[in-house]
Amino acid sequence: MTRRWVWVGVLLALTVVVAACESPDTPVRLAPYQFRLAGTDTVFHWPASSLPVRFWVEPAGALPEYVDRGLRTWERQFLYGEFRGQRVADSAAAEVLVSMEGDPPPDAPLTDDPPLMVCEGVTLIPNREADSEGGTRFAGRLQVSVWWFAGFAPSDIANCLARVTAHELGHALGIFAHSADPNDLMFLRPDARAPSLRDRSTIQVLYHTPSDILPWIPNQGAPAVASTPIR
Amino acid sequence: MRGVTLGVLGLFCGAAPSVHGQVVVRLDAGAVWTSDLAQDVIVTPITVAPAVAPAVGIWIGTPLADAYQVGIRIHWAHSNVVRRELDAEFAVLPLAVWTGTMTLERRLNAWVAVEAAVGAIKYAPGSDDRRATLFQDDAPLVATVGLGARARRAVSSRWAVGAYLTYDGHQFVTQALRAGGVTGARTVHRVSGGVSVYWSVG
Repeated sequence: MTRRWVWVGVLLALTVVVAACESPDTPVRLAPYQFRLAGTDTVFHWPASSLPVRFWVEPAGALPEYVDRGLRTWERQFLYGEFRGQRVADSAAAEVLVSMEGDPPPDAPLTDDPPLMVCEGVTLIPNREADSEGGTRFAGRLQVSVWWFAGFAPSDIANCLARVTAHELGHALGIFAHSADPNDLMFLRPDARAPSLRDRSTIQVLYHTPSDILPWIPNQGAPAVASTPIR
Repeated sequence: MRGVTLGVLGLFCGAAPSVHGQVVVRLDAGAVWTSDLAQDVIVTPITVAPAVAPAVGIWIGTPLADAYQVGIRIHWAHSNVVRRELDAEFAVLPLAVWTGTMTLERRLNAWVAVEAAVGAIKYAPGSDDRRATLFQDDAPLVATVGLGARARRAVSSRWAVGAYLTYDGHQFVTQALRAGGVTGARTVHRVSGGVSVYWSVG
């Protein structure tokens, strides 16, 4: 009889442990801002088959470090493996090129100083073309460029370049528009150092919205140069 | 009952007071099915769960009085975590799952036994692939409880073969899921099945 009660106790304990568990709620997300390419209603994000997306970065000062930081900070916005990026040494194998216009920036550590817009950037979205399977595909690589203005403190330039590089990488990931909220990294002139909750919601919604465009395939000949710039 | 208690204590102390002074080693090989680790809705419903995983385990135990056995089991399973949405599947990252449990087994007859298990489960995702996943900040170590049934047939005085079907459950959440707005933990159910080889020592 005692042994029977041992097993009854074990079963009851198991039932209590498993049955008492709460079922977690689905996360509530902020409403996303616009991510479609203006004037086209076109959606683009990197497909799972392209991951990790390969970024070639010009070795200009700390630009490779800014790109690494930008990629990591965007990757952190995902939970289910929707995006991964990596830096590669061979530009021919890259889907995205990142370069510094003008001289390499002064070497300076990143600080928490108030943000100054002492640099700028642009992302060139390549034109689209029909592919052999009836889909639409980019005719070339996405290209990111950043540049800085002389006459400012090196740390302000470094902070700005890190911030603007992360912003431009947001475009390279597929956010082809800007947020109207100055607290968001994807605001036109970003003060935020990292994606906000609204940036997070937007990139997550984007990566679960069907994409209208396929990426250009590296090593498939010379890409077309025509493109649409997004600051 | 006293024998069971002594057996459990004895195993912890490294000197099991088994009835026959016997130690049994069992090797398991099989597969594990795991329920969803996460469910979400981003535009469409999303589920994330490990694929059915090949698994192996080793158990070391000793018989006690009255048809009981106690033992310690180490179990390992490995597969990809898979995201499912819109009838499509995407591999998220490779994941190993280690389980360490203490088991209490009751033989019902010469062939069949039932067991209860309590212990811990450790998620071990591939370290290079954690980025952009629910495991990006941590890999949980959580308590687990389980039940199972085993069939066993002796093929010699020292060797036996068998089959098993077990269930275990635990609570799952990660820091990244919490940071993403998930409140509470999800109950994860696992069902394992496979074959076993027993070796009696001493």
